[in-house]
Parts: sequence; structure tokens; C-alpha cells
Amino acid sequence: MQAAIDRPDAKGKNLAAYWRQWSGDYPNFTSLATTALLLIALVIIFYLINERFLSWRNVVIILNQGAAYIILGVGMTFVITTKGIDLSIGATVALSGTVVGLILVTWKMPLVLAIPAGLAAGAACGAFNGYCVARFRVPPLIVTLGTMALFRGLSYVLLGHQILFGFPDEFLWLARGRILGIAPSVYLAFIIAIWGWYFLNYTRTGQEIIAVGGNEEAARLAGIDTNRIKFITYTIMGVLAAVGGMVWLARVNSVQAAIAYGVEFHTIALVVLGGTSLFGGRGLVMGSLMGALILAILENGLVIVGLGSFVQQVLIGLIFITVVAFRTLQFREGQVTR
Amino acid sequence: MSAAAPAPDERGGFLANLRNYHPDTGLLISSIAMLVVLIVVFSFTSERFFSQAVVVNILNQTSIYIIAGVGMTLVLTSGGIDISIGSVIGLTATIMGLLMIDHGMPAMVAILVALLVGALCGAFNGFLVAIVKVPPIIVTLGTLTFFRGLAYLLGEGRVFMRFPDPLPWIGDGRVLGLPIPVYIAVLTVIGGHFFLTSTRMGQRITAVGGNEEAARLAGIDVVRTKFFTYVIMGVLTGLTTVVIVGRQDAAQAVFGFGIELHVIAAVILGGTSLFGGRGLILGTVLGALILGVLNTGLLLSGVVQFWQLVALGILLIAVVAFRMAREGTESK
Repeated sequence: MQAAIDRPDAKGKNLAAYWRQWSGDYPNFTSLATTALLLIALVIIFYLINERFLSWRNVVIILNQGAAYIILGVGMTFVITTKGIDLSIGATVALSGTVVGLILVTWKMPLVLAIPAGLAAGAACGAFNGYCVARFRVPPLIVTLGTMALFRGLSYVLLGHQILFGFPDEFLWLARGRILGIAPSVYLAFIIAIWGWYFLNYTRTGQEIIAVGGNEEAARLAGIDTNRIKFITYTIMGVLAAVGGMVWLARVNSVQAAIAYGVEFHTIALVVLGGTSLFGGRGLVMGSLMGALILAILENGLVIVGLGSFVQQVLIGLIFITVVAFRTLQFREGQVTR
Repeated sequence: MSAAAPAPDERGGFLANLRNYHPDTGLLISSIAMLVVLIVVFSFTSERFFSQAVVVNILNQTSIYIIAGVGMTLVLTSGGIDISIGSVIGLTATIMGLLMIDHGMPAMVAILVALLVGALCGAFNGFLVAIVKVPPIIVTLGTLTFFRGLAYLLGEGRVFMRFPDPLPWIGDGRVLGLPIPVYIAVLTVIGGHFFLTSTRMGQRITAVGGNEEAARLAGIDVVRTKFFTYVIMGVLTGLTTVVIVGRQDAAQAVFGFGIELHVIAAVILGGTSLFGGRGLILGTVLGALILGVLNTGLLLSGVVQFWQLVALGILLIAVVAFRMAREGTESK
């Protein structure tokens, strides 16, 4: 009798003990595990409501939708890790996309020219942000609020209200081709995520990014060129925004100046969902990967369940607020006990 | 001055006040200079710039940004930020439309409800920022999506039109040649300036934004102060919505989309610190006027409309960069 009562109790204790031990050994364990649990819970819920959710066809669609989010999320993880923020990435997507669109569609020039030009445009946007943040010490929020208007304005200057479509097939292959049944853009996204994880955790520059975000003054005194690190971080963000933009363009097969409006909010949301600290000094690229998948699953799953995009927006907002509130309480608890 | 002065926010003293005012005066003068330069430039590029219609039009357009800007100044002064105000406008406008067009409620009721809805949205933000202690940018990022979603959900994609009489008058009526929204903006500015500089609550907001820990140790209820700042922001957003709905004589869930960029830009241009602790309501008025003059001036000078965004972005970054450089040299 007693043993029967004891057993589940002991089991629960073990699990809790493991959880606590792992949390102690790996500081990021709690964040990553809760994100993973949320991801799994969402998959199970949507599968129970509608079996088609986990059909191969739909999984491919979800991954395809998530690819751009993952790529943007990796860059934003770096930026937020330095205690910065980048509101201009939607506009960067638009400006680099406009360059690609003009070259490929309007001028009918080859892909070999368009892709480097698009990446260069993205890098230039990022470098401009980085230069203003690092050199002039303008707060990142203000810089990127300004460049959000600036880059978007330039896209409108170049394109006006026209919509460019009819990209060449080689370009569309990025999102519409299939390698082993999955779009090349998905492979690209996962490669970038793995690179981002490696870069942040196992390279010197990555470690310096974390150091700058954790305590800038200490990092400077330790001999880190904080300005250079910030400049590099925003430039990487710009390049990744251009890459994400191309994936986006290839998927929708069109570009206009208003494209990707507000994507910065989704990207910041998914990075925070993934457990990266807004207070800087802690970046979880794999968390962002899961955050991007959560976002793609929510957008896709809610449609499959039959809820309109309006309910979708309300629910995504609510889930985001709840998770972040929970994270903040957790974070504060952790600080109190230490 | 005496040994037992527990709350420094309550007794400033003339000297302390002067010291507090001194750096702000410089900022205000630089904003005025910028405004004057813009006006002079545009008076050369466009002949019609000084016509009465244009001036009234600039004032009229700017009034929306000023009303919301007063609230945003308080929020930034408290060390926070609110990027959800565009969505609050969409939600409030939709509810006003439902009440007045669908249910035939009188304008007074709808206006009161609009202010109330704004206050509730602000209270929601304030609760998460002050009590749960989530960073303001994240809270309002979430509510930006959430409130806009609610607006779409309630409005079902409809456009509410032809509002009953008192409302269009609020948005477009004239008294002594000036539009009503200008009067509302002026009253809001006077109230806001008085509130921030001369009331206990206003000084608390500045204290909390300047140094939260010090404010807490000085006995200020930080949680309450922050919470109320967001509620005030919400009420003023509701008031902004009333003016917008009145002027357009329509209401739609997309109203206010992207307005946060312009409002925050106006406040920052006006000299309010993004780091908190320094709020300049009068500066916000100047910042909003700078943006209004810039937009209208470019338009009248025949510049393609899209360049306005480019100009706004460059101006914002340049002004803040200049200011940061000057503050850097001053503190050394």
C-alpha cells in the first residue's frame, strides 16, 4: 500500500531532481526545455484536432514558412545578445529584395549578379546600423527606428507602388525546388542555424558578442574592441536579413516596397520565445530555431484548425505575452535565490 | 535643505530647479532652431508654404501626434516605451464604430468608452510592465499584435462611416479659424507640462525614470508610478482616436498602423531622453511640428512622397547622434 503510494511520488521527485540538476549544470537548460515542451505541446494539440496537421505535405509547408523566420531569428539572436535590437530588418528585407527584384525582373540580368548585389545591399544596411550604434553611440532602438523609415523609404523611392513578379525559375528553386522532398531554403535555414550556434558559442567573435552584451564596460576593459563587435553583429544581421528576404521572395514569387512589413516584431518575438535574454549576454540560437518553428506552426496550425487570421493574431499575441511573463518571473526567482 | 528631507522629489528648491532646467533649455532652443531652419528652407522652395491654409493644415495634422506624444513623453520619461499605441487606436476606433454606427449610441457615450478602452489597454500594458516586470518593449510588442488582432476580430474587416454630428465637428470643426483638434492638443500640452513638472506624480515619473533604485529607496511607489504612466498613455491614445475618427469621419481596425514610429520620433526629436529621467513636453510639441513641417514642406516642394520617410529616418538618427556627441563631451 505504502510502496504503491511512494512510487509515483518518488518518480516525480526524480524527474524534478533531474530537472533541477540539469538546470544547475547547464544554465540554458530550463529555457531550452520549456521552449521544446511548448513546441511539442503545440504539435500534439494541433495533431489531435486535425490529423492532417502532421501529414508530410503540411510539414513541408510549415518548414518552408519557417525558413525565413529561422534565418532572420539567428541574426536577431546575435543582436539581442549584444543587448541591442534591430527594428529595421523588415525594411532591410524590402530594400535588398527590391535590389534583387530590379536586377532579375526589371533588368533581366543573371542570378550571379542579383544574389551578390542583394547580399551587399543587406550588408550595407546592417553596416549602416552598426556604424551608427557603435561610432555615434546612438541607442540601437533609435538607430533602427530611423533606418526602419529610411530603408523602407528608399525601397518606395526605387519601386513606387509597383509589384514585381515573374522571377526566373533558378531563383524560385530556392523555395519551390525539392531536395529529398524538402525545399532547399529549409536546408539553408538549418545550416545557418547550426552555423549560428557554433559561431556564437565556439568562436572568439561569438564569445566576444556574449561578453559585450553581458557587461560592456568589463568587456572593454578586458581588451575587447566593443565597437568592432557591435559593427560586425549588425552587419551579420543585415546579411542574414537579405538571405531571409530572398527565401521570402522565392516563396511568394513577388516583391513590393511594402513586403515584410512588421516582420521585425515577429522575429523579436520568436527570439524571446526561444529564451534569449533581452538584458543581453545570453543568446540561444537553438531556442530561436524552436521559436521560429513555434511561430510557423501557430500560423499554419490555426489555419488548419479553421481559425481566421484575426483570431490567430490575438492568440499569438496572448501566447507570446504569457510565455514572456512566465520567463520574467522565472528569471527573477532565479536571481532571488542566488 | 534641512536634515530631514526624506523625499527629494517633493522639494526641489529654486537652485535645484534651475539646474534641472538648464540642460533642457539648451535642448528646447536647438529644437526651435531646427524648426526655424526647416521653415526658412521650405519658404524658399515653395511659395505657398506661408499661406494660411497650409499653416492651419500643418497644425491640424500635427495635433494628433502631439496628443499621443504627450503620453509617450511621460512613458519615455519613466524609462519605458509603448509601441502598441497604433493598435490601441485601431481597437478603440473599432469599438467607437460599433457603438455609434451599429448601436446608435450618442457621441458622448462613445467618447467616454473610447477613453475607457484606452485606459484599459494602458492598464494591461502597465500591469505587465510594473507588476510582472517584463521589459516594456517586449510587453508592448506583444500587445501590438494582441490589440490589433482584437480590433480585426471585432471589426470583421468593416469600415464604419458617417458618424453622427458632434464627432465630425470634433475632428474638423473650426473655432476662430483654428480646427478643434488644435485646441485639444494645446490643452493636452498645457495639462501634460503642468502634470510632469509641477505635480507630485509627475516628479515621481521623472525620478523613477532617472534612477529606479534610488526612487524606490526614497520611498516612491515605483510599481504604482509606472502603472499609472501607462494608463495615462492609454487615455491619451483614446483621445487621439476620437480626433482621428472625427477627422476621417470613419473608423476601421487598421487605423493608427505605424503611428508609433512618428510619435516616438517626435518625442525623441524634442529632446526627451530614451533612457528615462528627462521629459520635455514642450520639446515634443516642437518635435511634432518639425515632422509636420518636414512632411508638408517636402510635399509642397514637389518631392515625391516616399522621400519623406527617408528624410524622417536620417533626421532622427542625425539629431540623436549629434545630441549624444554633445552630451559625451559635456560629461567629460
